[in-house]
Parts: sequence; structure tokens; C-alpha cells
Amino acid sequence: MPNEQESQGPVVEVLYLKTNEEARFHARWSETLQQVWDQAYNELGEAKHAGDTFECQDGAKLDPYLTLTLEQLRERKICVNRKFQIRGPAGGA
Amino acid sequence: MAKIGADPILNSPTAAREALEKDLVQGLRGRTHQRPHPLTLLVPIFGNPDSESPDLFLLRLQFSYYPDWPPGAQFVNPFTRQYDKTKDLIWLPRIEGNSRIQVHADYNNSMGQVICSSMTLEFYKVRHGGKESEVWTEKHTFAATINEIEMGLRPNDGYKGRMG
Repeated sequence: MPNEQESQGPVVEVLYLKTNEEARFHARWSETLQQVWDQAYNELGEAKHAGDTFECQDGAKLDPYLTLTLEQLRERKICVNRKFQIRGPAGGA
Repeated sequence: MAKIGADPILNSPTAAREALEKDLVQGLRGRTHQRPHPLTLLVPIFGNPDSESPDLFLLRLQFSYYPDWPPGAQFVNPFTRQYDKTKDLIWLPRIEGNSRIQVHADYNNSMGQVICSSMTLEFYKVRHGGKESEVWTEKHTFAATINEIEMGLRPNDGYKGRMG
């Protein structure tokens, strides 16, 4: 089991790219990425909008992994620092 | 608020400045910057940021229409702090195949540089079409402008180096 503040669960950080607001909170290893994303809106006091996406802060898209738990993400070495970002829609090409 | 197909409306200098002051610290998030005018920010930004030699660009943000409309955004020559379309292509990034952002050295061969993203004022000034879901809203701050441009400067998002 990961050795990180086991009693409270792993810390996740979420940056809201529309404003640069940040949320930092404890999650559980058994929570899915979708649950973490949903919780991030609560922590940020923001509502989810159509077109929002959840990414790793290195820019990696996380859509394929939303049903994985944090434990599974760690095992697969996906966004291992658990620093995420919410990106809103934009266009302009 | 911003709307596709509508002319941007100039804010009063006082109100625009107050809005910028309110958003300044969080919007910059510790970034290096200069403020040559109360309504202008110069922000260094890097192409291919994770490489051994990232490409430096200088972004000029102008806040006369802020916050109901996004800031004007242009890449400028870091030495002159201006953009001359005949000489400064090297100071523009080339982005290909990214549906969220493109950089035009001279939009429609007459309108000058346009960073074509719904997070910039010029997108609305040139009457670019788009989806309502992608429009700048009261929820956005200029952080969205910087973030969106910066994310377009990664190789995986179509960044191909300098334009000139």
C-alpha cells in the first residue's frame, strides 16, 4: 500500500485553468478519477460545465482513465504526482 | 459579456484596472511579468517548455475591454516590445492541427497578428465564428488566456517551433 499519510488518504491537487484557483484535498485510494474530479468542483466552489475536461498538470489527457481508482493510476504510473487540472472548452482554429 | 458575432465593448479605464488588480495575483500565479502600463502586462511564455532549450516568446496582454471581454493578446518582439509583421515572424509560434488555438501572422492578409482563441479579444474583434460553449464568460479571468496559449505551445498540442 502506498506510504503516504495513510490515515487521511493521498493528497490531490486540482488547478482550475479558467481562473487559476487551486484545490488541495485528501482523497481515498479507492476513489475513481471521476469521483476526484467531481469532488474538485465542490472544493473549488465551481459548477461543472459542458466541455470541461480533466487532465494531468503535465497536459496528459485523462478521459480514458476516469473509471480507474487512484490506486490503479499509481500502479500504472499515470499522473503519479496526482496534480490535476480542469480545462474549459475553447475554440479558434 | 462576450458573444460570438458581437462587437467588443470598451470598459472604462478605472473599471478595467480594478478588475485586473482583483485578478492579478491569482492570474499570474507567480509568473515573471512586467507592467509597462496600468492596463498592459508583458508575460514571458515558453514553447516546448520541457525541452533542453525552450523557445522564449513574449506575450503582451491588454486589458481595456476586461473583464467582460478577454484581454487582447499578441506575441511581441522582446527587444522592441512591438510586433512588426515584416520582421518579427521569429517571435511568433507556429501551431498546427490544434482546434483550440492558431496563430496568424497577418489575419486575412490585412488585420495583423491574431492569436485565434476564444480566450483572446482579437477572436471576437475579427468576428471569428465559434460555439457558444467556447465563449469567454464571467467565470473566466485572464489566467484562462495565458493557460490556453501556453498549452498550445507544447509539442503534443501542435507546437512546431518558431514561425520564422
